Amino acid sequence: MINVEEYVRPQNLAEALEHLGDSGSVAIAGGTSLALSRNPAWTKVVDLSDIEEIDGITEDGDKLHLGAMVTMSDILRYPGNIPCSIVAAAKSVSSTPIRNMATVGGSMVRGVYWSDLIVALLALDAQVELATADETRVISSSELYATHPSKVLKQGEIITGVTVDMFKFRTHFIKLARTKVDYAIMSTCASIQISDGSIEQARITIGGAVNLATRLVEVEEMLAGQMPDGELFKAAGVKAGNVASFRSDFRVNSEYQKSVTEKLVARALENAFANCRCDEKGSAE
Amino acid sequence: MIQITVNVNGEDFDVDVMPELTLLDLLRELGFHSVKKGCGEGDCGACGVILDGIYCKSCLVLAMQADGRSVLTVESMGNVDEPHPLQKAFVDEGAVQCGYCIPSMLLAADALLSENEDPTDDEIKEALDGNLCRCTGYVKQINAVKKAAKVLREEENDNE
Repeated sequence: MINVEEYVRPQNLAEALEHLGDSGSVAIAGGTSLALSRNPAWTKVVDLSDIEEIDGITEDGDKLHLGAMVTMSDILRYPGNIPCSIVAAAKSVSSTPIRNMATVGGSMVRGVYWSDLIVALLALDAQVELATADETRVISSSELYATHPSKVLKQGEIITGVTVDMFKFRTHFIKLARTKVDYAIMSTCASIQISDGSIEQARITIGGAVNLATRLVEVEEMLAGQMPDGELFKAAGVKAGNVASFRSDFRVNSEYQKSVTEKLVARALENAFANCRCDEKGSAE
Repeated sequence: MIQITVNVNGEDFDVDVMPELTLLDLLRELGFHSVKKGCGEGDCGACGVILDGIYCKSCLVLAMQADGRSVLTVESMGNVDEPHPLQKAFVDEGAVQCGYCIPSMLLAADALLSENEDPTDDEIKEALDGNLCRCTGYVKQINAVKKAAKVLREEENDNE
């Protein structure tokens, strides 16, 4: 923030997007990542915190929409239906004062390797709404994280919200960390769609132990069409450990990463199949 | 410099701030020394304040983000002569030693009790999970919050 000359807090999205079209502009949501930044390129801060259009949680049929400015605490306080993996992921983000500020949009656009929320959203095929002053578009979360959001978002473009199916998948999120408030050593989310007793499709994601939250497509393909049982889930865990590209982590070695991935992917699948037991409110079916 | 107006504990302050100045540093410059600087990067929780009703870490809020907003520090809760039930309970339970983490922890507890008048141990632990304390071991504060919650509930019943 060292070269910032202007701070604006627009009251509507159109005005914010106009500001963000200017070079040197940066959007600030909860600020938990940006406040301490010393990026010299930024000359104007556009604070999104007053824009009601991109805030709030809404349900439309079997779709759930999270506005970009929804905080982790907003997710935990929401009285309606939310897939329990999203609730578990929001709950595992840092500590209460951070959860009170950190937003869905901010977490998604930063795309840090330890992000808990992205792991849950990717495993639900979340659809991401983007906007610039000139156009809006919707892309899949898989597309957003195929590289990194910073490479996908255009100049002046922001995430305005995200939509997931509330009931399509049985889903379960697990985070492994040394303490409750620490960054994930490894996190995973398993979502399975059951049809006539077999797995119609699956989404398996991991984070923390990889450079950026990612789907393990080979594992998903292995599960599709199979009858769900403990042996299958165990085999899926082993495959996950084999196909994931682990990042180097000073806290744990790759053998450990592989071992916990095997165990936790299998466990997430078992718990998802047992009809979603994230120990939290929310339901997947 | 960016011109802002921030309300702290009911009083408006018109100040010019550098863009990188955090709310934490601004509050300390304004004389609110109960807001402590520990790590300065969002880990320790000694700098917690209530910003427009939301408990947050003021080291991760830019001063300019507080323009037009209201900030509450522990000075708004009570003082030595008239302590808030939470402040009294923290002292009575021995939940205070060096005191560095306590102003922020009191605000975290106050934010909890404003939403939940009879929290469980787990709910208290979760509400205080952003506050590191190196003196007392995280037990006495929980007892203190439960005790204050009881006092506040009784006060409320007496008023009805």
